[in-house]
Amino acid sequence: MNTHNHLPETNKNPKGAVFSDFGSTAQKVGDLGWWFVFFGVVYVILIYKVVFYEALSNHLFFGFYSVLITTYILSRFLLAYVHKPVQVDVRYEPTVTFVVPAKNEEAHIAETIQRFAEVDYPREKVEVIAINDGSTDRTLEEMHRVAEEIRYSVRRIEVVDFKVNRGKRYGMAEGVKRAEHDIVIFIDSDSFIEPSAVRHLVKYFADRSVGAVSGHTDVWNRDTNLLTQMQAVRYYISFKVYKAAESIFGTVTCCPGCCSAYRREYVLKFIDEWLHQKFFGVQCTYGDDRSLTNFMILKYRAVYSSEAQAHTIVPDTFGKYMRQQQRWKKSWIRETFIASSFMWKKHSLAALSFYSYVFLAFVSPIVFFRAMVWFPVVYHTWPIVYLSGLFLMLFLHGLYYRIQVGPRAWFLAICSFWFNTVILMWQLPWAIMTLRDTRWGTR
Amino acid sequence: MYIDLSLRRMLPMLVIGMVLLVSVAATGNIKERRYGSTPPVASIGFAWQELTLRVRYAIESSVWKTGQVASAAFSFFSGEEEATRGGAGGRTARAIPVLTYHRIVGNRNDLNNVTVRNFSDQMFALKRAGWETITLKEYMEFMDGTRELPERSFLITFDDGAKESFYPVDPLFDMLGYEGVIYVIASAMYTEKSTYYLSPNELRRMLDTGRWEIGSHSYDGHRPYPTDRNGNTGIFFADKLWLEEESRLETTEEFTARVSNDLAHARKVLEDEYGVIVNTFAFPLGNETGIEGAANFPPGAGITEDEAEKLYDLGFLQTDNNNFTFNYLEDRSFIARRIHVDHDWSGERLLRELEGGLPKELPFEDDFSRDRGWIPAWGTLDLGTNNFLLRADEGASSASAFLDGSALWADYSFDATLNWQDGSVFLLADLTNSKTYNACVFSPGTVRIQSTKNGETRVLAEIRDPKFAYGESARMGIRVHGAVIECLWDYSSVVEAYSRAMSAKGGIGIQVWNPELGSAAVQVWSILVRPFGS
Repeated sequence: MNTHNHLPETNKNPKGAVFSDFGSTAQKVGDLGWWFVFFGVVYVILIYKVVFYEALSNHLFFGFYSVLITTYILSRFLLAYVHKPVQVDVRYEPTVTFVVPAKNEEAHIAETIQRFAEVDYPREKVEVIAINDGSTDRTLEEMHRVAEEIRYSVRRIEVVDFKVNRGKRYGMAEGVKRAEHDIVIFIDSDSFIEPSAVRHLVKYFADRSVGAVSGHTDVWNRDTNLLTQMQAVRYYISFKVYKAAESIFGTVTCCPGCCSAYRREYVLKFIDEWLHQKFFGVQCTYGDDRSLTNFMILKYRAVYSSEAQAHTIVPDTFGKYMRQQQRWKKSWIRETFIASSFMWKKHSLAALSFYSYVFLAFVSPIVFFRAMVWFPVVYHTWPIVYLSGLFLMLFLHGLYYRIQVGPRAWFLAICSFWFNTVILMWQLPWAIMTLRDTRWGTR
Repeated sequence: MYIDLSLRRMLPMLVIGMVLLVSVAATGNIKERRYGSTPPVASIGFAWQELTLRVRYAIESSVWKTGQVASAAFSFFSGEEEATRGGAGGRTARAIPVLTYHRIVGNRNDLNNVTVRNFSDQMFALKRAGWETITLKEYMEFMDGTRELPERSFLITFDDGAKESFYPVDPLFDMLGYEGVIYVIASAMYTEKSTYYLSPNELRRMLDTGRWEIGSHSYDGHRPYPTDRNGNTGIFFADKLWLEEESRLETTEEFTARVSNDLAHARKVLEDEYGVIVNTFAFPLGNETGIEGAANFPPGAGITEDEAEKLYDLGFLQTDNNNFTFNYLEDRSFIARRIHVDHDWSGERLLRELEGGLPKELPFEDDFSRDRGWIPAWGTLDLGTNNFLLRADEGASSASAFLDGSALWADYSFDATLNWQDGSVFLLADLTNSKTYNACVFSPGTVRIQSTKNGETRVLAEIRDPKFAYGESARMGIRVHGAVIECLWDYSSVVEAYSRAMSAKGGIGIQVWNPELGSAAVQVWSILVRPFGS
């Protein structure tokens, strides 16, 4: 696979064609250099583990954690590397329905919907359903205006208007129920898809066992500030590496709402159960995408299509970012709890990966506390080993990003990520404590 | 499963995986070979220090060499003779200085150890002045009289066998072409995972460089041992130790056996481990007499010296202010002395010590415009910039100083012009240490000839005459030749004695004495030492 398939586009030319790279020799040599650095860092990490193993092995539990997290992360890269994409088959063209639930998105909704008219797919096989979820701004007006604009570029467009806000989950369910086509593609109201994305999403559905396909989403506003640059790296890696690794076994745990396709036939089987999902007696009002994927992978498969490109707008202030992360963490806990009940039935490697990740996620705050608070206070040692180990790992991810997407602000993003770990690490325990508080569920 | 396990896809990963595994294994192997049981992080630290120092010294030396070539070219074109310092050309050594270091450290507040910066300054200063290191073998052969060495030759030793004696030093030695000796505590090198002591693998690598030799610094005699039931501690090689089970101090026989065993065991362990001959010994803690006031066995240090002499060819003690700093071919003995390099000595200071200690030629003239190597044995000496002021310390009745590098002088006259205002002035000749000499003692109205040996004084002759009186520029002298000791006043001989040893050799010194405590002082304007008969 050519690593230059998905060159970054500039924001100034968002609708322009993806420029193909000429792959000059200099570029290849440069890439080779970066790969050399990448594996150099892997070498350093391995040495690091050997060096500190002795210190860690004094404590079986933390020694185990240390070995496991390294194995887990390095194996993600390896699995992502062997992830095999499916070829586009032009003879397989199922009908598709774009479903866009929106609330107070007057700024972006028009762009989001306009892009459906420009997709590289037969117009008579495209349907659009936009749901206004009780917006208090001009979202509905915008929807009607764009619907009029593109009505001849798609087979059917429908604007649904909820007079009062009912929540994203109701909007999605409404879209699924009203859809007349085979494949439902959820697009968030602040996300934009590339014209080629549809074919790359639907190609996986030729396999009847596939129920959901996640597209690849990049950060649209990545150059706004360091926070969005950091999220750009995080998005890229979590899709290209972690989702790709999950995808091998068809157990992608979250096909995100910003750009994912579902087979409507399968979704209809559990849509009401999903809509009224309760967790410990509390109505679930967030993490709708993760929850829907979870229902799907109980019986079917969910995969990741790295060629299906979309973009999304991410929070550009720290407060908004924290609230978003908190919402995601809560749904992660809920859905992980549910998934834990059936993941063991999947491919053993998939199950192993899943339970390892759960273990690591719950233990890492403890390790963090031990290294950053307990040891400094009790033994007066600086957490140099912990912080440098963490940095090495993040640096590895940053390098991967740099190699794949070219020269972008990656290093500072990694540094900021490193710094933010101090805060992000506490989200999981915090989320557990506030799990039943659904107020943060709405934006 | 969406997985591509084709050979085309897997092969690069397999290759990279193999390379990574081999690299990690090789790294572990290299670490084991080079750093032995040193903890990995410390190994990285030492490797880093070694690397950065190598780079730094390579740059410094290329700058220095370029400068040398440039100045050589300059003097060639301008037709100047290249000025060589002290006219070293072709002269051979008659005495060798030995330097003692411990660790070379990064911390500036360490009062026992020289910093990396000072150490490199010292070595560069010596190198520029033409000083070259010698090996232990060369030292021994020189002392046996079977080898000639250039005049500016010296031996560098490092005590304890610490890592910081090797890693910060070796890059510099490599660059300067210097060599060193490390005195290893044989038991300490087996300390597992030590970040302090060199481990056997490191010592082996060190010996393999060809720049290093090792000597014995005892097997386990470097740490404090209990000397009574209360846990007070003493010195392994000087004090009788407390035997807890029997609730008593050991006997002299037990002391001797213990010391002898340790000395023999250290040599055997080192020789077996490294396959080299270990025939020199550096006394731990540099101490002959034990801790002052706490010593419980005054003859102990002497017994240790005797036992060491049975097992080794050479034993090193530190110099003190009572002895010449260099080791002389003429009075070769089992015990040799080392100069302890203080933590705050600059390169210039160390160079001054060594240049001052070089054997001096007669005639010798000193106007005290700079320090030519005077050592205050006791009291305080203000020296340099045309001044020589010797004063007794508070609570003391006398002060004494002698001239380093004068040890080989024989048959000479020593004249001094001085400002004599109180007390008595001693002019010393035939001085072999600060307590063994012949002297002319000038007191108001009296001149006496004395012979002092290890602090025991004998009066040989005396004359009374009122002309021996205080004055701003009193001219005194002492003349030694054959069996004769003469004292001179205003250039004329006033009293003689005839009991001097015929072949006596030794240097000069000046003492001042006043029974009123803390008041003895003398200011010397100039001195002149001429060979007898000229």
